[in-house]
Amino acid sequence: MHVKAGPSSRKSGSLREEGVRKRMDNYFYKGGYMKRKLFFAFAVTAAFVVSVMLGLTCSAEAAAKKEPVVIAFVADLTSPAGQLPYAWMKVAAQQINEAGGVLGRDFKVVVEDCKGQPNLAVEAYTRALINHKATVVAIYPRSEIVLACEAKAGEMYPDYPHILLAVGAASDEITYRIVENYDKWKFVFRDQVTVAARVPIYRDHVDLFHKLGVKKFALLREDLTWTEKIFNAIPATKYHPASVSVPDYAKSLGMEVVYQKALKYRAGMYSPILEAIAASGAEGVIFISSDGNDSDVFVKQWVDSSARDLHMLITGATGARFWERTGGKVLGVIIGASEILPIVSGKYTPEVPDVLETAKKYNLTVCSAVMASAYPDMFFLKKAIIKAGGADDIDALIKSMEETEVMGPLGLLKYETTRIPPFFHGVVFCDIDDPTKYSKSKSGLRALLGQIQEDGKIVFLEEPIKGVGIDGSIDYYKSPAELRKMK
Amino acid sequence: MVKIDFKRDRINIRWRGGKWDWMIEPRYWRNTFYWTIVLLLLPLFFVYFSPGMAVTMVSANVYAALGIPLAFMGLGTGRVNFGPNFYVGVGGYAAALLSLHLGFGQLATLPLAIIITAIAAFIFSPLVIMAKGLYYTLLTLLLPLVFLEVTFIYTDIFKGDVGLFGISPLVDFGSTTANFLGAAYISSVILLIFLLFTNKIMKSRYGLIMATVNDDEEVAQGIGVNINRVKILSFIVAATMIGIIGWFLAHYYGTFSGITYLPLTFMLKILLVLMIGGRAQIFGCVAGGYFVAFLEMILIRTMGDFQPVAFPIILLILLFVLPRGEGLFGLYRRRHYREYFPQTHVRR
Repeated sequence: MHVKAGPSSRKSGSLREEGVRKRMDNYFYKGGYMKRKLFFAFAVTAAFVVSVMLGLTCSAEAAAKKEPVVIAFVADLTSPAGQLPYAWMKVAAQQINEAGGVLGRDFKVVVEDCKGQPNLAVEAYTRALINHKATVVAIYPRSEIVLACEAKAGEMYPDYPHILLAVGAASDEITYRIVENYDKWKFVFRDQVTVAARVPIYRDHVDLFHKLGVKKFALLREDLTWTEKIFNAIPATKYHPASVSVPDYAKSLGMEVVYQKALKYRAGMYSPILEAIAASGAEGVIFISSDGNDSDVFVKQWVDSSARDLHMLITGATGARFWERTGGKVLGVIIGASEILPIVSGKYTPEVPDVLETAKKYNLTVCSAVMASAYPDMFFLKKAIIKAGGADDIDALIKSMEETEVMGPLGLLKYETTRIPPFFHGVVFCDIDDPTKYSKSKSGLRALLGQIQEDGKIVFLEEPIKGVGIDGSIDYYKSPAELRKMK
Repeated sequence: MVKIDFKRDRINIRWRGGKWDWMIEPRYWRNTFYWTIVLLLLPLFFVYFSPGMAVTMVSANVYAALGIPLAFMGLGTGRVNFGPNFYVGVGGYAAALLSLHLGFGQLATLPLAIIITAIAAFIFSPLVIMAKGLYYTLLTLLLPLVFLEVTFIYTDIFKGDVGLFGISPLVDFGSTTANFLGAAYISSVILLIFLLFTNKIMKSRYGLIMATVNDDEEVAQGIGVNINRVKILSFIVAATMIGIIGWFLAHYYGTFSGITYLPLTFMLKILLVLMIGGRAQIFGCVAGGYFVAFLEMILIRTMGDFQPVAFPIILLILLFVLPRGEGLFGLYRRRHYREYFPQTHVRR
């Protein structure tokens, strides 16, 4: 006992003091203090014993079964753009585990939500390495988040060897430093092609308008770094030849870009721009955009504008269930590959399960952003780990990843090994000698275009990949006005 | 000649015309001292028991260190600045650009980031004289958004959405643990310096003048206070402190992107730190910063898909439930009313 004096016998000054004194007396002299002390000691001991027992149980279980290969997924789960790849990665892990896992070990996908904020992403990345002991940390998709995590990963790599996989992030900057200091940054891989390599895709779009007889068109792009490079000419470097800009390419076909504008990402207000386009005499609109942009808002404002009868081609930003999201207002819009590619993929992917069947079985949406990255990445990792003889030796795994090839839903998935920035450790998509050239023979990728027609049905406007057997032709195209009349 | 007088609760130091008081009465410093010890021990605890938490602690320190100058600015100007993140951007971009283009290290960029932020704050400081009420709120709200647009327009300089990367690291001891400790301690030291500085100012005669301006500008002017000077100085000093956090963030993450710090979402978080912690309490910013950072981290880890909804709901409930203006720290204050804590004079 700390207090030896008896209960206070002082005269009470007030009712409040009296109450306080009574509580003190009860506490110290009627056993409250000792009881609490004993209870506290008992609780601490019990907690310790339980922890030790739990630890022993877990250790025994872990010993009985091999530890899983942990793949941490750092993404913005507040956005559908982050939830979908996570769902597909989990399904891929399940499929791999059901097929026997990787060298007797299961894949375990853990998710860390970064809410699209670099500071939270860095925290999540740290937890992925320290708490989850992840072998691979996949980050999706914004480049500034990947770059922030990359800097932290570089600090942590010597103590926590792992693989950083930039999923869906297109910025060339991610892989610049690997060439400068290979030993420090060799663990960084980017499962996207370079920005320069995308230019030919957008030329295909101009070609399509050319086939439709369009002479004047408007060119819109979301105001992000990657589209700027596509919009403008890419100067020649010692690694690749110069690329003409999309407007210059149109000019070479005898077409004219009568309206150009960079639109703020998720601008929300497009009506004035659409009115300006209508006034410019444009016959069609090409909108270069990406997943996550508010293309549904754009479409809704388009059908209520003076530009509603113009040909409309929106690339990249269509995402999943475009028809439902716009309440059918997307009727007549030409879209990029999002909803089309998985149909192709089911026909020629020997190493990755059929995505259409998988999507149906697990009630998942398919979109090109995931088909090109998160889903096949898992099968790529499986193959690389098997080739490396395990996932514990990260140096061996890096080497194996540099040598592994997998045929994914959108074609070949392989990382560039020629030490030229920004291609090194990025996905092979084009000839290294001329990245502005489309290389079907190497990548198997193709920017198919289709039009959304009655009831959301997509018709192909281009001759598809040889052997796939999809019926596609420019003759199937109907103008938006024509389709609306048919409703 | 220095003259020292030992009083019951303080030591008076007189030198030439100046006089300094140093409080020795325990109730004025005891708990603050204990909490400082806790703050300094926390990084060690986290690094050895849960290193991931050390990173959350850095975020908490950053939030708190942003809340303190914002409260200070509010006191001295009598207005709530809704765009403090503008100065995070200025300080951060200054540090990042100097590091990338001139190869400056973190120590060299610090004074320059401070100077550049102070200049930027000086340029915009007339706002506190020219506008008040809703107009001041809107003007300050727009500043970071305009800056964000500038970062997109001048992509060659600011690298737009991708941001600047390759900035010299804040610490590089060659060991993850040492780096964690280094970053956690630097952020803690910045926080403590901000607290100490603000505490000293608020306890001083100048703090009283600031409170007078906050209570009623006209009355303050009537009793001879140069209110414009007080408002401009408070604005510049607080903005510069915020710029230091921009410098810290640029070097700590090694990247700096306007799209992270300039939109409304980041600014709202700082305001929440201030309100939840207690906008009338400078020390409340620490409580608010730690509460918001750790709540967010815990919810992310435990609540799954419901987390994005749960986080604002909890904060909303707290905003309604907590004593108005006093926040979380107000609850502590009510039980420890005899201790001294600096308190801002908040207009209700």
